Amino acid sequence: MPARTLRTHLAALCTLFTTALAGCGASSSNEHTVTILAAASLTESITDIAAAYEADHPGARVRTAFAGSQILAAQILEGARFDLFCSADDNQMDRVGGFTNAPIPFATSRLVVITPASTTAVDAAGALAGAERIALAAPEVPAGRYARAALEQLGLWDAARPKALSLEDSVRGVLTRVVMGEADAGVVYATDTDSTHAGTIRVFELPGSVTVRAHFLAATGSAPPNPAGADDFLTYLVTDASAQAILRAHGFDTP
Amino acid sequence: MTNTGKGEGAAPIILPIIAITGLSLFLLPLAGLALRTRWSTAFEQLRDPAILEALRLSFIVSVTAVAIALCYGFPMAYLLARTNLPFRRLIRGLALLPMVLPPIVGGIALLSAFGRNGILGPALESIGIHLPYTTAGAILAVTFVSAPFMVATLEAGLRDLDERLESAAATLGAPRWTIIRRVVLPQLAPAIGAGIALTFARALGEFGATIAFAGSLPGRTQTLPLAIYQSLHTNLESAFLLSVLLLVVSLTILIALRARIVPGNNQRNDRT
Repeated sequence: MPARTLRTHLAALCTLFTTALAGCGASSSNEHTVTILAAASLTESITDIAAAYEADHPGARVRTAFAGSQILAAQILEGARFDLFCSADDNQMDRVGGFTNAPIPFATSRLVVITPASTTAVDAAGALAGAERIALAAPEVPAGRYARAALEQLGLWDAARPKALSLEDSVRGVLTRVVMGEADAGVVYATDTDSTHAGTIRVFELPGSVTVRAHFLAATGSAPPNPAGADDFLTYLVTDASAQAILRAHGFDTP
Repeated sequence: MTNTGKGEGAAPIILPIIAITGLSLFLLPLAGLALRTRWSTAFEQLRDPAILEALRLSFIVSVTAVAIALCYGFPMAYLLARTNLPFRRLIRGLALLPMVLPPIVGGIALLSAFGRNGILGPALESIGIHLPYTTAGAILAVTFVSAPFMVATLEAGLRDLDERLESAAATLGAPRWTIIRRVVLPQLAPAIGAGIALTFARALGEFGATIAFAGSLPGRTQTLPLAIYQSLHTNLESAFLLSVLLLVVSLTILIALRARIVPGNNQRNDRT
């Protein structure tokens, strides 16, 4: 290869490389973008609310990332830039207390037991007792903590724990294992099951004696890249009628 | 072929500058890992039963995967290197495919074959064989991803052997099996060693196929990389420590292999 061509190629490569790096580093600083880190169980609802927010606020853009709350909390502790954090429990919200303003509860959900549609069980306790393999979230995951608390209230935890198939990193992992038919039962939020799963899984309500409910909280970052957008979106999430309606449409209860 | 010392010293100054700058990108994070690890409590942390369990499981899974890879890898490498098998290129491509396939794809593919609703899953389950979410499933996932490294290394090793020795043994009337046992395998020992090391290194680091196909259950399917992933979100100290541990193992394997994986190094040592 002639020297000049090589040099041109090298130069082009270096330019490309530095531009790409700079681009990735800078892309989060767009002042009109609101960056939201939200619990996996909020995937559809926050996505819809973000779309409604963008429609109401011309020029505004919302970027969302969904994962188990403990994953997002760890990202925040390690310096992830964000405007709003929506956690599925107090523990993970408390963990990032140094990086957020006071959290506001904005939704709750009850827990349910799900099974593959082929189940012969008639209630939640029967579904868990008859299951050979149960999908659970890891203990630090909000869904794992709530599931344990609920099953302890039912006196079913000690029997269920050894049947764990895998300890998932979010409630959606639990859902997937049951939807795929790999697990015979799993505990998820009522809001994780929607019409798209009809025919694939069955949903069993827990007995009325179970008082455990998932609490969702939102907090703005204490040094957000877009302070005005962060506050504005939080206000929209907790007070706007259309945001509240979207949450309820996805099965959440709003305070 | 005749690289003199003079020729090597004449690289334009820009090349070492780019090379060293680039290398720092790889070395800085590794140095950071060592610096952020809290060494004062390392010993106690390593005695944590959860960590010991992950270590033990990773060792069992990786060693078994290497053993399976060896049993499968040698016949496959032999067929590819020594026979005129029809569709040999295609077979080699398929055998080596997992080297370039994203591991998570491998894991999902394994589920589609051996999962409860997979092609073979129900049949296997009816005779009492459960692969997904078991230690056997973790071994299968790790083998799927790592065995091609054994095939590739052994095939290269076989091609480097002097085939005239095998011809001579055949002329002297040695049966084919005897030739393989007494002529091929002893000469192949260095390649087998390299294959074991590379396959073990890949097996030890496997993450995607395992978490998709075998899930993550401490003591059963949660190998070291999966334990690191979980502690990354809960206990950073132990995530760093376990990462350093895997780094040390990798470095050890690299040093043990340095003569074999640096191209041309062997020949040069042989000829000077």
